[in-house]
Amino acid sequence: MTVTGLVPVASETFEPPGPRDFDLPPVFGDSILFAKPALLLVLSAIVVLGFFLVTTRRMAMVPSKTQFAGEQAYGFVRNSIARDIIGTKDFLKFVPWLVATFFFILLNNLFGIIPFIQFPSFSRVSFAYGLAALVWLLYNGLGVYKHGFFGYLKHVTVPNGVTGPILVLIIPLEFFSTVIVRPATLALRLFANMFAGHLLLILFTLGGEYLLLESSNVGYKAVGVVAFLLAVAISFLELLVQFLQAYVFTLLTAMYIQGALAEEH
Amino acid sequence: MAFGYLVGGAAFYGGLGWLLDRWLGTSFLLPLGALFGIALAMYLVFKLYLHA
Repeated sequence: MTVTGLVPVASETFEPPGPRDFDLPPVFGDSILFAKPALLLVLSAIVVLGFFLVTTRRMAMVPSKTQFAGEQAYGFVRNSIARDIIGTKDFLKFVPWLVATFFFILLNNLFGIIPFIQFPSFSRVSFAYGLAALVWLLYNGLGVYKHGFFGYLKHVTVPNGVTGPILVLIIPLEFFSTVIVRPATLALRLFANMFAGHLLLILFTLGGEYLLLESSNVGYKAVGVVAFLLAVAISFLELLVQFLQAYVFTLLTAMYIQGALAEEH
Repeated sequence: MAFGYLVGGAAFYGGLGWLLDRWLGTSFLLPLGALFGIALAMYLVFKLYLHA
């Protein structure tokens, strides 16, 4: 078979999906604020708030099914993230932040595979930057509050157990990795996972659709069916990644809080 | 955390090398600085986490 034989015979050529598929036009008006990703953020905030309002509306000693669901969700973040990482002494006042972060990110990620929504909001990098900026303000603010400005600066830049002239080289490195690299990797990890997952899904579904419907070759049609099946399989993989990224983001937030509050580095 | 140190080391000392490159008109200080930063980061990671 020649190389040209690999190209399916079709009326129009296949356009592979790319970053431009993430630039969604405004649903109404001409402001970017009314584009799908921004509206999804608002929707997720309403849904998460609604979920916890409904599940905690009538609290009873013997919980109803909805109260049980809410308590399980809350308890997961409270115990296995906040308490385990920050420690029993200080963790309680950070639980609301961490619970809100976790379920906000989780729902926005799940939007990537919920039928008819099918867009993970954090595949737009600016949202991830915004979230990481909040975390940056939180842990640095906490550190300054706890140790004082210069005390925190020392806390951040001078690692425990490192002494001598090598500190001259270490201090800028520590400062750079804690203050600049940390929020960037936090944001990019979430963004890149959501971006890549969504790209993979649209590639397999659009490619499958093209092979199945636009090509006249039976073999290509069969490959198109396989592509659709793979898209379903990847959706399950994405479910795992979406949960994991929400978990990792919250876990790292808790670790940064713990690091800022710690007595020693 | 360890990853952050590696990126931070390469970025900071690589950036320093880049600035020196621009100033002196050379081109070898950027990779040299990046490698030096990574080496320093690895020293720090071993120092901090090996005995922990």
